[in-house]
Amino acid sequence: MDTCCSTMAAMADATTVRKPRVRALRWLAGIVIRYSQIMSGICYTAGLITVFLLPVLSKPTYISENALMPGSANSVFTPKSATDARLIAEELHNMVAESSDGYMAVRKWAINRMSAIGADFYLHTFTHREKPFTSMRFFSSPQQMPRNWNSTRDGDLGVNTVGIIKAPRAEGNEAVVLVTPFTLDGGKLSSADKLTLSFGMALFELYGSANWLARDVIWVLADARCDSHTAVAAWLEEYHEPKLHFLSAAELAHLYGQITDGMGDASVLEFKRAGFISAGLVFQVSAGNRGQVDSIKVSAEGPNGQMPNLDLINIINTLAQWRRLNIHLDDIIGVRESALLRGLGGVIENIGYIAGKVHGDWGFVMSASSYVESFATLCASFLNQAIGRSTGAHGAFRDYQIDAVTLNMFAGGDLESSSYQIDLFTRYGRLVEGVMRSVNNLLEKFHQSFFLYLLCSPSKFVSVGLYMIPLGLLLITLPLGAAALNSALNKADEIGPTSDSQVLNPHSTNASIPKSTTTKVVGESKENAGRWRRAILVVSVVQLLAFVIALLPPIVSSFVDILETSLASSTTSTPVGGFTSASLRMLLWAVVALVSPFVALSFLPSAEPGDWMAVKALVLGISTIGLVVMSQVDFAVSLIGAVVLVPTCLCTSPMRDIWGSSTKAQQKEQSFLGRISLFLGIIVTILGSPPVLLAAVAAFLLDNSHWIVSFERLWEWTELLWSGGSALYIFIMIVYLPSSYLSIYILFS
Amino acid sequence: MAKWWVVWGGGTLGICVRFLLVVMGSLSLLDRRVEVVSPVTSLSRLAEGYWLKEYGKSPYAGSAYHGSPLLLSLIGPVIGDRQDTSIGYLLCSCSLFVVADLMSALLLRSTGKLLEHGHSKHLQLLGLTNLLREKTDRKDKLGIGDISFLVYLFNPFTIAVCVGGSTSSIENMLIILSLYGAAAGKVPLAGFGWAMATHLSMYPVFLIIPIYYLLTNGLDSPPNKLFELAKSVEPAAKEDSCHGKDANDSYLQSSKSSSKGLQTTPMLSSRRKWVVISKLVFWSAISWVCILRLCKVALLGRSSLITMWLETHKYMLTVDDLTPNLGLFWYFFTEVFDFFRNFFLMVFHANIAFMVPPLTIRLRHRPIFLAFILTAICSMIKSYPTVGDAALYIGLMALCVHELSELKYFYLLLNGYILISVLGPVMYNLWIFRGTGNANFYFATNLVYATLQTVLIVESVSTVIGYDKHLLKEIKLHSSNKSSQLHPKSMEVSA
Repeated sequence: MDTCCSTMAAMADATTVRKPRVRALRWLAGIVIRYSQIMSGICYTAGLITVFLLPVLSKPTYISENALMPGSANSVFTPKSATDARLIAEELHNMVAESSDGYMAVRKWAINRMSAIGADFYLHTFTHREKPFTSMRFFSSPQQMPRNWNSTRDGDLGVNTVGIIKAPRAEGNEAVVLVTPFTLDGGKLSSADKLTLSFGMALFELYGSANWLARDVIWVLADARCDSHTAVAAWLEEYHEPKLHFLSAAELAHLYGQITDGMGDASVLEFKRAGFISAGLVFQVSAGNRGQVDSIKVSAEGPNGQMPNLDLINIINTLAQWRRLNIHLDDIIGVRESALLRGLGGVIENIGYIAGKVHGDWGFVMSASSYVESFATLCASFLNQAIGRSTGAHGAFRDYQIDAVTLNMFAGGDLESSSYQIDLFTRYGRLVEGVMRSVNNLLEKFHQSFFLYLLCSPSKFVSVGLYMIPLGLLLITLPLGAAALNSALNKADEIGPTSDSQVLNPHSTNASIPKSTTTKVVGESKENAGRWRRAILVVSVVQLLAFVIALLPPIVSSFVDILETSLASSTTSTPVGGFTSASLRMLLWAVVALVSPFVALSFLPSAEPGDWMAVKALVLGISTIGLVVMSQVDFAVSLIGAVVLVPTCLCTSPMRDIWGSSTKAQQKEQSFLGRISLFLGIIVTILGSPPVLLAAVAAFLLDNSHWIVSFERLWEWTELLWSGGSALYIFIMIVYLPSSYLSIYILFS
Repeated sequence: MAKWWVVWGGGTLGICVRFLLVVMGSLSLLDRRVEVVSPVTSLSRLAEGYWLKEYGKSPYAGSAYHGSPLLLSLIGPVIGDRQDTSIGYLLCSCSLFVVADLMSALLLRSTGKLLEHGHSKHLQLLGLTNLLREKTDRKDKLGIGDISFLVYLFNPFTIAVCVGGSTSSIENMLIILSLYGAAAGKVPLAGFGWAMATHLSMYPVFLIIPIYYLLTNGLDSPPNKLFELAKSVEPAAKEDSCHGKDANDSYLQSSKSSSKGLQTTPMLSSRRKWVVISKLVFWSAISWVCILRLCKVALLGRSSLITMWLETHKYMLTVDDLTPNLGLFWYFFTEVFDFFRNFFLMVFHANIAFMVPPLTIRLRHRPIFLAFILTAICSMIKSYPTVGDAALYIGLMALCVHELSELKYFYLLLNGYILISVLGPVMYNLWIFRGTGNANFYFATNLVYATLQTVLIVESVSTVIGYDKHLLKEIKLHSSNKSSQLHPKSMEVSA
């Protein structure tokens, strides 16, 4: 055996004598890997800085589609039309006031007027969707419950009234949809909704006599007693994917009697269509603060951060600016008042000024206040995209690839005063008419302008090419870290099994070394393969558990339901120990989610000292993949996720490395600075871990109330995210949870 | 003990996972996904064909069904018209594929056992008992068979295909069956499996080469020249063993016993070879005749065998369905001009045929590995690939886990496969459902997938060749050791 070793040594000598050729690419890769930590730090910081620079880098919007030609025609919505609209509003008011059933009165009013101008009309009935968390068939689409119309109470049944104007010069295979949501509050129509409906009717009647229409116009009076999104989504679903309702004659008669009161014949229930929908416009008059300047809020965020084509917003913005109307987007007041941001805005203002001095082309004008405003708007746009639920009824259109926005017209004046009403109608009527004319001019689907963008203001946007840069900078750190770890693992092997096991396994008495020297390559690869195998096992167990936890809410909620019914039968008090059922569900779920991964990991075969590197490499791999894929689904989620997840995953390392590693070689290597950085890394990892973040969110929601209430709110959020099919939920459960748990696992390995 | 645990526990868990997914409604999620079903393997198309047949028409009417009539008779009655969504029906319709998966996994396990046995025998023959000892040291560890059993059963691709309404599980089972038959020397089984697999999915036709080498040359072994080299070393070892008491006693014992085995090298005499070949030809011919006969019966005279061929194999060859899938054909053939179509069809299909001869020459001593490479190539350049093909070659790859333990870019490949299996559906969604992407988005992921498979194939081949070189080096090292060991001892004796 000794001779064996000597031959090996001779061979090793031979290899060291032969000098390897230096390849440029390899050399470069070596440098990148060597300084990977510093480079990761720089990239991460640069990414964060770029996020804050986005308002500065944003570009003014422009109309890409030439066919739109906004504002090129004279408006036919004259003050006369506005006066008519006011009369219509009065008529509506009287009809609702006289009738016992407000909804019925609105329907009757709409159908009467629609039939008077010769438009098609029908009533679309829908039931409100069942509450989430009742189906165990996670993967299949929700089962259509057999609708029993006889038993539907008035509260469950929504009735959309729909009118269609056939364009005189068109073939009737394309349409534009106008939506006006309305609700009745205690049988009374609010004055804002009354104005919305009469405004819609005035426009509809105007289109009825218009000879320039190239597309049919569909007007949907969305019954928003649950919420407008549900109503519009139900209508669109019926429009695109008709279902067969085999209503019996009795049911039909019942339904007909329930929702109509002598309006035409039963054909009023027959669903009618008008071809491909090229755009949708939801508009609504809302009572703003008294004395405030009238303004229009444009909401465009659809489900999971999907936006309508930017051209649609461009038209509205162009027309509003031309008509001198105030137009704004959603923003976050808290962000706007942050002193830190104001300071940053000041710095950026100065930088722009100085840069302009240095070189004329480099300068930019961005005042501190406009920076703050842009950033607040950007934040709101970002948050709305990240939450993944659409901000209004326009989101329902996005599911069918239709571009739609909501225009919320805030009226600051006295809604009952007739002069104000006429003024309001004239201004907004011209805007909506202009938008309709532009959409009417379209030759193809909206496709010219951007679909992937963020808005800083109605006239400034950040395109996908720009906002991917910060994400790229944040994400490049993860593969860098993985490459460094991989090369470290390979290097540990190249040194030879002896030193390898000394580095990685300081405690073992290396009895097997002499044996394995002869089979250096094979033995090593076995060790390496074993390490990878264990790491893959650990990672896949945690990932699988994450899937299970993600699917848990329905199971938990049905479990709590069973528990409650059994408890309710024995005792009289329904809330168990002060818990409401929602908070109990949340608590149960959170406990399972927080505890089960650690329990599962403790059952796995114990990790050997070198394993954490392989685990970390895999964690970096899966989190990169998760973030990259999520950036395609919902960019905002991905960016927020990257900001949290990148430091958590990248900074983790075994905790015992701080207070002394047992080998002397390693102790020498460990400088004081190195230890401090390790310690900081561990703190970062802990800060980004699920228990800490959950506690932080719960504390944020606490807001001077009992902690049970905040848990209740959390559960409501979960329900909302789940029912909306939000990418945020999927990201948290399937990417964030496993990665951060594994980072904690590495801490303790 | 531990191994039995693996088989029973793993098998039960695998079945449970599949049934659970089916109950949770995976069928409605997956059975329209282009990654899981192709026009050739789709169960919903099969249900259509079955309905047509029951209705008294040709099952191939209307270009709905493109599979074998045998599958129609086998699966059709079980799945019916797929209108029922009760849990009992779902479990029942899925059970056939679960059984097929379990069978494939068990066959892989048996093949793996044979391979492992062969592996240690070859190492003994080569006199590399130190490698062997290291392996036997770890008795509690899983063998090749168990690893491939688990890999096949718990591969997400296998599971997706099994519960996603595709007939790939059955096709894969037949391919594995034929390889197992060949590995175990059961010529009828090999012939039947090959004929059946070829009938169902055409591409296994190339597998006749590994089957032939398996039957004539035996299981995967190092190249012949290594054995010759080892033979020349062996006499020295024999001489050595005369010295008797020695630290390496046990090791020499084993090498002595192996030297006996050396006389029966895995090569067959040329006469035996011809017998095996004629047997193979005979049995596959018999199987072919039976299959065609049965097809004729199953078609009930509503369609001819010619139509069957036109609608199955020719349909795969001419790529009539350009629905996007994991492959490279659809994108290209939507763009190509009609008058070039035939030419490019030939070019694309010839790609596979061109790669077969060189690989066969280089890897004929490792038929199972060759089978893995060929299935991987087919999966890459197939007209209608699904993840079912990937499931098959990953299962076969697990059989070569010893030789591939040095595989480079393992980390990269693993992450690549995860990325593709997530990004593909997302890109498809962006293109088809959201309308914010376009065909290039999806095809880009297909290209990445093809690249990944290329890297996998190239790296696997080079790793295996490297492994053989490593063995050669070991033998040389060994012989030099022995000669240097002998000299001091003879000195001692003389002293």
